[in-house]
Amino acid sequence: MRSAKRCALLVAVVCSAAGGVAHAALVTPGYGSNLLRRTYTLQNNESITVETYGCGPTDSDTMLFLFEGTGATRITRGFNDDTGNSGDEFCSYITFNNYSGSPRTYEVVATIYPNSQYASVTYAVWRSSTGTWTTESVTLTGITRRLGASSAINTYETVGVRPPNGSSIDTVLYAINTNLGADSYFDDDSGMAALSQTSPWMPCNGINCWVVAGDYYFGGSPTSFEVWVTNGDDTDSDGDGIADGIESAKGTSPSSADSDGDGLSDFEEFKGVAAANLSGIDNSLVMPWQGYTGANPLTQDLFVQVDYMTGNVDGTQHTHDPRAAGNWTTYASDLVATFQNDAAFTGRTIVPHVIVSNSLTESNSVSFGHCGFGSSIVTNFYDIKTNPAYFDPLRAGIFHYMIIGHTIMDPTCSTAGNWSGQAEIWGNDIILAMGVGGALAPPNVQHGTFDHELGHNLALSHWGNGNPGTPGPNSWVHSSVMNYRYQFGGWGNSTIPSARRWGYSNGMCPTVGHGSGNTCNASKCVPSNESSPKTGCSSNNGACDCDRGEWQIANLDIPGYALMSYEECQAAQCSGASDGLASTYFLGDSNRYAAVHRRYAAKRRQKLEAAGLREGRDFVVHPQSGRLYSSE
Amino acid sequence: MAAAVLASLTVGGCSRTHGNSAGSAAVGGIGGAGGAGGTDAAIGASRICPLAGRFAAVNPDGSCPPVYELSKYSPNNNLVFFLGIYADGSNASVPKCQDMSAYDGGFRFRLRVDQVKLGSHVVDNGQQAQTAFDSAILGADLDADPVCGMGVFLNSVSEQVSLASGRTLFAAQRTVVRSDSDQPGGYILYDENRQVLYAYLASVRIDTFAGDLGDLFPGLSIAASSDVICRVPDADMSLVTARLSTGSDVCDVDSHSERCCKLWGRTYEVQMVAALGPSGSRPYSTVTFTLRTPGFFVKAQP
Repeated sequence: MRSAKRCALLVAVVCSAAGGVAHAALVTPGYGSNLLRRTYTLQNNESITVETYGCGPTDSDTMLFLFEGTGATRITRGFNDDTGNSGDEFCSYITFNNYSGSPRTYEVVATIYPNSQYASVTYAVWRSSTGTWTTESVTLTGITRRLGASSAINTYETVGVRPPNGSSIDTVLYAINTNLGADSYFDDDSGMAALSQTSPWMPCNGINCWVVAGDYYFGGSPTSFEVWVTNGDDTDSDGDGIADGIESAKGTSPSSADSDGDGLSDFEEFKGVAAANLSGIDNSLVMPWQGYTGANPLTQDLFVQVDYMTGNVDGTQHTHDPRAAGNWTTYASDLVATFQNDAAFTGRTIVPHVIVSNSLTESNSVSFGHCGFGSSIVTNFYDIKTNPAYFDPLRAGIFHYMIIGHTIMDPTCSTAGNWSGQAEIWGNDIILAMGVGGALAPPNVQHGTFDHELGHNLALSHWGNGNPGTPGPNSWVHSSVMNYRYQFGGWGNSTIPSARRWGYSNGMCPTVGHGSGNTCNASKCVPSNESSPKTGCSSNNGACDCDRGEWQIANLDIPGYALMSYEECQAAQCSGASDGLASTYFLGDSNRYAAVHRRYAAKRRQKLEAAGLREGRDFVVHPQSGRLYSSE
Repeated sequence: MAAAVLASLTVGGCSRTHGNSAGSAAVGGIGGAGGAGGTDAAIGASRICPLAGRFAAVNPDGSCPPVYELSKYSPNNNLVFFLGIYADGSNASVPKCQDMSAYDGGFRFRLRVDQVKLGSHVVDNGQQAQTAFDSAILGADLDADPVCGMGVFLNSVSEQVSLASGRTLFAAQRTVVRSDSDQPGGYILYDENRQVLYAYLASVRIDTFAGDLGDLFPGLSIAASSDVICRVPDADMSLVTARLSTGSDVCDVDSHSERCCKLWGRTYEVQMVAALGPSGSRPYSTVTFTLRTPGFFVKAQP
């Protein structure tokens, strides 16, 4: 029975190769995989026998490997596929003697046979030093791929959920030529995101060569991951680090490095983010199959880290944790609703990922730049952001960073307490207060401001569509949370249809005038909080600011860091930068690097102005940081 | 009203040289009708009354100090002197009130002072420890039905309240929200005669003061000079002189300075936390200031 299955597989492989079928990339869907790995130190002249048994005549088979040493320098000392006869109890076994003259460390790996998905067997070990058997029941699962009879170099890699830094959870890849009894290629975690990648080339007859991928850790829950195989064609047309064949299989564009246009490259969204000069991986970013917490290269993802202050600056212990007052659910749901409502009107799907992280020691106020009052009085936002204990440098350029504090300091360092939010425009920095002057604002003000400031980060101004010809930000028919009218009181009006209460751009202006000279026929304009057309404003007289889908022009990219060249960053003694696929980012005190910030601001100013925004009206240059912030 | 006052100013042409002499009541061409004064012990002991209300830190080139150095010239400004009016912490003589919202018109009520608690606490963020002195005025909202407990809470790095229990004051608070940055607000304590005992007004727009907060300060007009004292380097920001007036009482105070003035015929310590001229992003002047009856705040006793 087992031989018949192998024959069928052999035929299929040979036919594929002989038929000259184009190299199609393969993506093996992730399912749990566990490789058993055990390490033994054998004394000189000590022998060891390892075996698996319990395979029934129709059950899955196993493979056993015995390596001397660990890691890339390992040497294969033993391999066994099976013991021969189908239906016997034994699956695989190896007997090995250490004749090296000194104690040596060996590793045994047990895994399933390539045409199997799992094997529930007994793993047994006998050592001459003890003269006894030890056994354990194991369920082996795994992902295996047979190497084709081709000289082409295939890239194999595991992609998926990454382990936390320092965790024992990891994947391994073996490329095995069983004819030679050797694992010609082995990779532990040289791949992106601390997973595995190898490009094996070895003499192979297309029959007995395999790549085996498995979970490094055994005993825990199997880890989901995928095995990607380029099948001899590593062509990467868009240069994003993902081979064309893989992109086709995954649904992303082989010709666009950022298929969904959210500012995160396909590479980053598939594999996570790492940066040159820094070790480690940002574990929170990319978990493609875990929904809310992870990026998806096919949807526009928006990441926000929220830290909040806790303390007693006013003599009463309290926290600004948005979750503490029971408001967080509303915050989150309203934010999601904002994007969903927009999607309903614009067809653009944006998925927010808001992660509440650290409690910060409270000061009286928070400012973009230091204000000279002392850190316990006024906290410099950038002192916090550049502290890796709070904000992982790997997140720079990808995550928006928000601090919720007791109050917000005026950019002029003159008045605290009368701002509800400040934000970098087309950037990633936000300061939020729960209210004004330390007093708690009504929930609708809080929620509206949360979305409003985030909108500034996405390059949205109060004028929304940036059309100089439109009237002010309080226009009735400027249906956006960027409109003060909807950011505050009016936004929380329960009479507004729930499906239309939140949004950056969900006004109804369906036909006349929409897109025609950027004006509208007022009789056709329906504000988002009303069900009938707004009367009293006529077209082209400056009183009608018909919404025209400003959300569609929102830019999710955080351009600041990318606009700073690698050389600039190095010149400014950046703590880390990458000129490759990962985002270039900038670290440093805003004052120390003021000159660099000014150059960086100048480039962004050009882009904003090209988009129709005006300095002074829509954005200002912060007096200290040189960064661009929303005006008012 | 504001425009009319502005039109009458004749500050233009005054050279704002470094180191104007202390004690001068005149600001440029503005008359000194609001000069420091007062004869009672509190006024005499006031730290602020001897000051001239002039910003003297103008550089020879006419520029102001950079933003982060301006705090040197704003002693006891609102950063270190918060005021809040909450139900939390009120004494147990009556049931605690529900917190009231400062938004949408705010609130105003009669406050019976049952107890004044003075204390201190340390704010320590790991880099810097700062002692803050607390003043808690605990009492009852007499306008509530039933009467319930409210408290007024202030803290400062140098001062505490001097107030006897048993008095019946009036407390008010209001925040006007127009945008994420245009949110003028005020906290006010009035005495038994509805005279301002202490007021903190933040981010007041000169052009909208009357409608925003004017009813809380009957008779008070606010204006700002169109002349610039100095411009802050690298910032779209200029310091100006603000004018507070009630009838014939006129008080001119430079940004980031203090002095005593007569308003409503009474002497007040005026702290001009900031008086800023129009800017590219804010085409209007704004002022943040406090009015304090001399003797209401005293030096804190550690």
